[in-house]
Amino acid sequence: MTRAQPAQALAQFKHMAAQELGVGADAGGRVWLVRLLFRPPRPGQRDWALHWSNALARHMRDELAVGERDGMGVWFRRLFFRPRRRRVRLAADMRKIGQRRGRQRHSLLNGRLAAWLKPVHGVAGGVSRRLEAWLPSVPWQKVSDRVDGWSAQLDRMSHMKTVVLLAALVAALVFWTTPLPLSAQFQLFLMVAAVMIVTRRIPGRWPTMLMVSLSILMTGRYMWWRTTQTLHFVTPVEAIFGYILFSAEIYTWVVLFFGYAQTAWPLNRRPVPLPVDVASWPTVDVFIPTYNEPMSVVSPAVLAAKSMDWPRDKLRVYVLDDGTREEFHRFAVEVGVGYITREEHRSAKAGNINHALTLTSGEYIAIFDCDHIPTRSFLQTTMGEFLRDPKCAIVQTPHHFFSPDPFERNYDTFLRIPNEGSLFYGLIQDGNDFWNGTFFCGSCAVIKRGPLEEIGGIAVETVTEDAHTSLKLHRRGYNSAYLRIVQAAGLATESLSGHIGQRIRWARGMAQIFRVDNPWRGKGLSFFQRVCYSNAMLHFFYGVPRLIFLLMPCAYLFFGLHVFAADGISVMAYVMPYLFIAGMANSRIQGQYRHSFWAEVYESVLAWYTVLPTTIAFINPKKGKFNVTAKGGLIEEEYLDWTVSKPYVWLLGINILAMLAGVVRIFTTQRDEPTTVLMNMFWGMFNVAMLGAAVGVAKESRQVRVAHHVPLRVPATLILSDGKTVACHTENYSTGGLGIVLPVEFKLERGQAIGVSLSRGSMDYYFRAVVARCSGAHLGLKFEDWSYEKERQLIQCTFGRADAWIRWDQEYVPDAPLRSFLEVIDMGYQGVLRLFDACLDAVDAIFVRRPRQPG
Amino acid sequence: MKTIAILSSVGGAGRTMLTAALAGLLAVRKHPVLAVECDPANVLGLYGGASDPPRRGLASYVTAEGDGGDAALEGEDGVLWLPWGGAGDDGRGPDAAQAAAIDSILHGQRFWLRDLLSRVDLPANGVVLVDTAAWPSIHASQAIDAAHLVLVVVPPQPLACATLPRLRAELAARNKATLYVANAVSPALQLHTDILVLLRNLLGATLSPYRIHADAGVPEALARNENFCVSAPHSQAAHDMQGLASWLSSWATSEARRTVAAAGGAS
Repeated sequence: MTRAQPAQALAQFKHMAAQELGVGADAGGRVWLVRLLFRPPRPGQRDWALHWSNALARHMRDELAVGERDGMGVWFRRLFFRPRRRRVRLAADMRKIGQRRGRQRHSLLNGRLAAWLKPVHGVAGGVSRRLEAWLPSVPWQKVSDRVDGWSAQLDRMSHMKTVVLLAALVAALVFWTTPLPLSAQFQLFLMVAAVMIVTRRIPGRWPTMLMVSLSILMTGRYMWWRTTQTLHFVTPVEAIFGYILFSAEIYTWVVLFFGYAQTAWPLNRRPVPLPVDVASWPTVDVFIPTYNEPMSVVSPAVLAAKSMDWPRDKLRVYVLDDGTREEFHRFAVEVGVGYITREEHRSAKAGNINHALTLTSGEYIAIFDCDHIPTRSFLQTTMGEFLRDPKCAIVQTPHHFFSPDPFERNYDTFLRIPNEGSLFYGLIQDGNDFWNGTFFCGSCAVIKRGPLEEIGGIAVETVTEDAHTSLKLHRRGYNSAYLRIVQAAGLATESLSGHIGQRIRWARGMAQIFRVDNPWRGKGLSFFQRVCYSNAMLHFFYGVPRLIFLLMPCAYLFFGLHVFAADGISVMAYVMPYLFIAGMANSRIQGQYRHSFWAEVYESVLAWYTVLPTTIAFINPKKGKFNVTAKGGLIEEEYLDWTVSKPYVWLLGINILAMLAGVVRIFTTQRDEPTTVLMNMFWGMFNVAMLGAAVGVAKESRQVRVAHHVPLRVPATLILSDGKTVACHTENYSTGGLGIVLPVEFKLERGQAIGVSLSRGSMDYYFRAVVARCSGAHLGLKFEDWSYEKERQLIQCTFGRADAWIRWDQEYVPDAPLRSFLEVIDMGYQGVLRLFDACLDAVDAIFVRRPRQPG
Repeated sequence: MKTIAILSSVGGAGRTMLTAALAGLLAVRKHPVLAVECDPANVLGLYGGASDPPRRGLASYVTAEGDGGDAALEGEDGVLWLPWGGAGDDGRGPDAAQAAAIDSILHGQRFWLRDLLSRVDLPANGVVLVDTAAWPSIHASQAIDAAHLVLVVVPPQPLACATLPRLRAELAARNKATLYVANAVSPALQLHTDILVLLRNLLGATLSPYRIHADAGVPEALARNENFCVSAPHSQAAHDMQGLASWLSSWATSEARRTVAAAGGAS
């Protein structure tokens, strides 16, 4: 009784006080405190005091990481001790960037710069718009048409071409060798640059030729100056390094000139229609060589090849199985295609095809890699060329990849920036075609049996049997054709190491051909065919020069060697014009297929790895072994591929140290020549960006799926169990399953039966399925009663459609050299940050020995 | 102004549903639209949003001696609806004598509907959609004579295929531009797929590539008094009807342009 009394009195007092102060019965201490200091507001007014105190408390809780229900003890502790925080990653998460970027298709850095410069850009844009409205507009298309007219007129005059070319040669020689004072050289550069900037706006081929000619003139001037003025060295060591750099430059000049010759006039060949009489169409054997690829990769290609539009009795499909697998035999029998194996597994794919040649008899042979799925129109598009030109031995079509390669995946550039292969299949092959020098690329091509047997089948001497085969055919005087229409598509290599392995094989093979069957020797080739082949081979020798350029600034920054005997101003006067004009000309020719500065990135990544194979193959073409490109793999964990990136980490380290050395040098020993130091440092910075990008690519981002899913976007119809329909799009395909993007979010149960219908022309094909997963607008379906017949129907509605890959490249952002430069710099920066993150991860793993939480 | 008759050779093909849906979709495509029901069933008003069968409509023009100007209704999307009308009290329709009188007028004046529609003042790109009774009937016949384009709705049913040749012969004899459209197609049914192949071979390019898929949401929308294409915009059936409406829209626009050009050339 006596003990209860004070408590009761306290409660009574509390109740009374609460009523007086206007505090709720269950209010916390903070509300009491507020109410002691501030009176409750009159009805209808906002309670500012409580409002602010709530905001303050929330902020404090966030800052000190105190939970909603934590007591005073936690508050007190947090005031003095910070909680353990997860380490923040410095490098940006590519997937998040992709989402944030949304429809904007530029890199993050470009986006940020654009946001900063928005006012400037707005003012400048307004002024230029007003200027444009005020000035008379130039009809660039008409200018181009008129130039075309003039050139056609000139062409009609006899011997004009020879006279013009000779005059141009004389003028060029004079232009190259005339010495000018420095100021005049700068003026010359400005004039040429002005002409280039105007010419750039005129569409058509002749303006391109003008830009190329100007670039050749400026390069020639630089070459002359470089050779005559800059090769005086003081010490023998400087001379050695100087000549190493000089020889690397000679390589780039040769490649530049050969490249111009190769790509100056892309042919843009159109398909030739076939005769109306189907009986006169020739017989075609389709070879699909396979070695160790899983059935899920091979079956779509086989089924698609079997449903190509061609007379049934004139089309025979063969699976050439070097793995001699019973499963493949059963599959071939079931779907009604030929199955060929061999006893001895010599010469890999080339041997496999040559063996099949002896067992088959079709007049033409279409070859597909086992993961290239042809469209139904493949044969009707390609075969017309053979019937038009009886000397034609090869028709090649592009290799197209519907999944991102490691570069695209790890830097989120898929369908935004042209990939490494775009330049080759978009421009180089088309340019080769003008000189009748298209190479066979191993897949997605048709070869005539007669000529192929005449040269003894597919070449087996080198590891790039494809290019060597077409070289042999060209030597025999046969023609080749290239159709730049995507008629088949496949999977890109999944991991960076696989990608590098494939490039190593190409590089080694090309070096082997250079030794075994050099295009400059032997009979049968025209001059420009020799140029095309040798440029393709020279391209793969870029490893050594690239490494020289990556390391050369260090020679000065570390050891003070003057490898370039010229002062800073003259370098500016000659090097800048040469690089600038050549860059503009190349952007004009290649911009659609490769953005400026990206060649540097791609080459920097591969340089280290191609150096050794090309050198070994160059010295002894018989050495080295064949490696098969692995496909259909999957990256499950995000990681930095240390083994791949190790050389680049070293190179990056050396370059960063060189930067530091440069800073030291500019303030100590080389105070008399700051421009030289700065220029070398600028060069070094560029190298750091390239190497950063190279390291960054090695950071493999995670791939989420279990089986290999192929991106695929076609319209589809869902038929729900209650009879309603949904118009939607497919997202990806894997054997026996389909990913769907719904137009709005639906709630579908797992395991629910559902129908999906795809169309091929006016036909609907219906597939029964069950819901495998459903999250938001993304739906995963698993097909029921799946069979090869059903799979064939699905392939016909999807990959096999004639229009499946039409306009696939329309999403690319057009090339703008400055923007592209920033994009590459951004990549390099992100790459360095990724390396830093990975280092910290490694340190964590060693010291903490605790798996990092995903985040 | 172009008139499109929506026809079928069997009942329950989905004529009225399609008329109502196309009317709304063409209005969205900036065509002034009048939807006319030339069918004593008097159900078009229900698709247009009315809760009871309307009393006044096309029939009023026959019986009320030419003054039915206030019989048309305007929907909220701007579509003008002219149902058949004639509903009486207690849910009854017109009596037998009245119906017979109407029929006799329609039998007697072959171009009665065409003349009536020619008095409608719609702009050049306006579209009149005429929903009819199943063919053969005097109502369908009037609509065919009034139409610039006949849209034949074909359900993928054996009966529709069996009656189609007669209708085709009739339309060919009257020299009418015709578009056939398959309605309520279910890809899951092999029968439907086979009949579509048959129709494609028989009709060639006059069979519209837009086949309208069967969708349980269509009757459901009517029951809820909703416009199907608005309430279920993501359904495949709505997509198909959108496609068909776009086709008709571009047809009507190019026809109107040609008519204007011809008139301009004549003057």
